Amino acid sequence: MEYSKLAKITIEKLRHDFEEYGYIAEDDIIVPVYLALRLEKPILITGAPGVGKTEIAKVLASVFKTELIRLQCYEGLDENKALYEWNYQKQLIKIQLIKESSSELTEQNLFSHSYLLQRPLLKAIQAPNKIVLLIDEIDKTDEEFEAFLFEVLSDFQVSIPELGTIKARHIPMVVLTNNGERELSDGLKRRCVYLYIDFPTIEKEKKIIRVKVPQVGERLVEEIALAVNYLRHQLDFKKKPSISETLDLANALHILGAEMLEAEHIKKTINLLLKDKEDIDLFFKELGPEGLIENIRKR
Amino acid sequence: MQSYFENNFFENNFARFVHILRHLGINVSILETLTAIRALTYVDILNRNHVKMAIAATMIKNPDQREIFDQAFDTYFAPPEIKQHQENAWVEKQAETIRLLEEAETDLAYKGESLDLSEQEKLFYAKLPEEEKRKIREYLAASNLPDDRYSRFKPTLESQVRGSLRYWKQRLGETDDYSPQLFDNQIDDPVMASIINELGEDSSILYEDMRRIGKQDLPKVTILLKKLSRRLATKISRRYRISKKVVKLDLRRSIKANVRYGGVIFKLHYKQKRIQKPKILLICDVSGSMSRYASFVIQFIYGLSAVIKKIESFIFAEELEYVTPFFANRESFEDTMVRLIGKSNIWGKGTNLGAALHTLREQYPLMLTSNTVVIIVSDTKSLELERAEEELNKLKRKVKDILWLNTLPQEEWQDHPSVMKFKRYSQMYECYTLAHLEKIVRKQFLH
Ligand SMILES: Nc1ncnc2c1ncn2[C@@H]1O[C@H](COP(=O)(O)OP(=O)(O)OP(=O)(O)O)[C@@H](O)[C@H]1O
Ligand SMILES: [Mg+2]
Repeated sequence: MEYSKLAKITIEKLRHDFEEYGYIAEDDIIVPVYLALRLEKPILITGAPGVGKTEIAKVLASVFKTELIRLQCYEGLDENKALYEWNYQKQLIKIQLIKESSSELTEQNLFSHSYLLQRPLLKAIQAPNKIVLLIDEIDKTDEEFEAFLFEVLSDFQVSIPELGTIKARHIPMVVLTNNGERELSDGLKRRCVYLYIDFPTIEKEKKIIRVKVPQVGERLVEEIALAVNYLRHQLDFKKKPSISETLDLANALHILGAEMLEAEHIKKTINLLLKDKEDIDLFFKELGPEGLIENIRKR
Repeated sequence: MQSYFENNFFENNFARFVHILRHLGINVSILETLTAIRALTYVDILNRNHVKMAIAATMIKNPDQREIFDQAFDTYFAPPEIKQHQENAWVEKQAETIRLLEEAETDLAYKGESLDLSEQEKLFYAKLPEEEKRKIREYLAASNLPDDRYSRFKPTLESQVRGSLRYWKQRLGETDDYSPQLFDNQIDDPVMASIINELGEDSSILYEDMRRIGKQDLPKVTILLKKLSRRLATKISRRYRISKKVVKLDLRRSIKANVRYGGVIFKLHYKQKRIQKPKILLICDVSGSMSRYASFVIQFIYGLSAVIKKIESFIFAEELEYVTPFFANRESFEDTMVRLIGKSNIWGKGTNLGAALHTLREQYPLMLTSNTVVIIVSDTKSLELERAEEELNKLKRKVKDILWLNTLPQEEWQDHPSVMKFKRYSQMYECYTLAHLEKIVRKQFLH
């Protein structure tokens, strides 16, 4: 599907295309994504780490066969790194050259397009066609940057004092992700279509394992999904195992040649599911490998 | 059902739905409402589920509100039979309220004229046990005085009845079978009444006075508190982030400024970026008067410690005790509580805030910086009020801000000089239910 066909997408078709690219989603995820595309609004995706937020942007780019431009956020990210920066080295060299040739130095010849370093946001605005702009983990930045982003996303134009205003030819499909480290401003939230991704149901997780690690046999698929689900809901971990962890586990068990889940496997692989030392201690204290097996077999 | 949807869905009903959401604490902006309506043109309006998802995606931006939204949607856009049922229940309840009011007006009269009491007071009277009502009636009858003193005496009588109702309210408030729902007559809409009625238990626990929450609910409360603590922590750090000068060379300005010197860079320009988060210092009252809130208080420290690394906590009664280490190991809540109460010498004693704050200032001066936000959880009842006020004032000058979570109901604040005094040096919020805490976190820190 090409972006030019955006007007023809349906919820059904979108779900189908997502699955084609290995992303399993029910209406609860597809409907907001579909609406964001239709309304041409950014989609703000919140959820625990590893539940499939970033992946949505990647799949969108594949589905619409377009470029994915990614702005990875971090503490201290500023406009220079997000939007554009002048190429100072190049400018300094130019200054040097002009001095030697003793021609005249003006601001215009130093601040022109050839000295401009485009960062992701400017790239997205100047893209010749409709692209996917992924602004990943926006909660890692500060409010000041969030306010700046809000401006950019409101009208998709930026003004560069030396060059004038640049307006997007196509409004990008914007995906913002948020791990919930801090609350985002109301202003930004209002502009966006909102999607909260919860941990998957057992059925959904089974489908994901089948798609992503197809070598694993059905019995093991079932037991992995049950085990992870049990851990998430029954123990109070600092960091609950997510889909990425489930997939790591499935891969590891396949390599170990497992056909069903056994206590021995869990001992060997628990550090794939639980990354925090305290969580691992909690697991052995409260449940342990045997306890886990017993509980999922009970079902 | 389909025609119901088609005929009413858009203009009128939608606005009313948004209005109901607002009453349930979900604020939806005009932009979002318009977006939602636009979104509905892109989904099959007869597919209830898609309609619901479309509205949620465009109007509900906080996962915690989703449950309430779902309930509101299901009730509001219910099939006509069910709507009829809601209406009937509402009409019945209204009729019952009117009956109760009339009963109270007849009973609470002086020389044939009803006493001037609020509707809430009248309803409270009507719902009292018969035995207590009788006592109040007898008291009124016994107070019959000759006619010439009538006009002067009536207000006195009114305030006496009011006082006695308040006494009963407090007494009943402390027993377990008292139901706060009984008194909520602010709900003025059948749909809303039904929504609130059907909201799950999990939500009703939000409105329960913390001292009345039983042991069986503790796990749920812990989870909620953890969530709230986390939000409180991020709100505080957002609000009070201070600028520490992290200096970075601003080459753009430097180059521009120096073009006129022929490109030789004479003058360097710097830009600044803000980073540092505030430190939080928690001081919780565990004196006798607060003992019923003890588990709330400990949960609160427990929850906050789980999400904020840089937190220091103290408890106080007659004196101050440093308790940060108890929470550092992340043992289970029960273990922490047991260990804390076992080791502490001040648990359940009298209160001397002044002494406690004095100790804080003398022994922990390094914790009090212009980057520290102090949170005090206490009912303000303390010995040596003057001293406490003076110490609070001193503390206030040393730190960034003081937030006071007061477990006394706001309506009682004016009766306590301590509240009035301490309010001058802190931002004070009523806080004895999780809903209060939620509201503080959601509203108060936004601006
Ligand atoms: N619905 C899904 N169908 C198929 N694979 C999925 C699905 N959800 C998640 N995954 C897989 O789980 C992994 C984690 O997903 P992703 O990186 O998108 O998570 P995230 O929410 O962005 O996490 P983080 O917050 O850590 O960045 C990826 O390998 C992704 O392919
Ligand atoms: Mg991600």
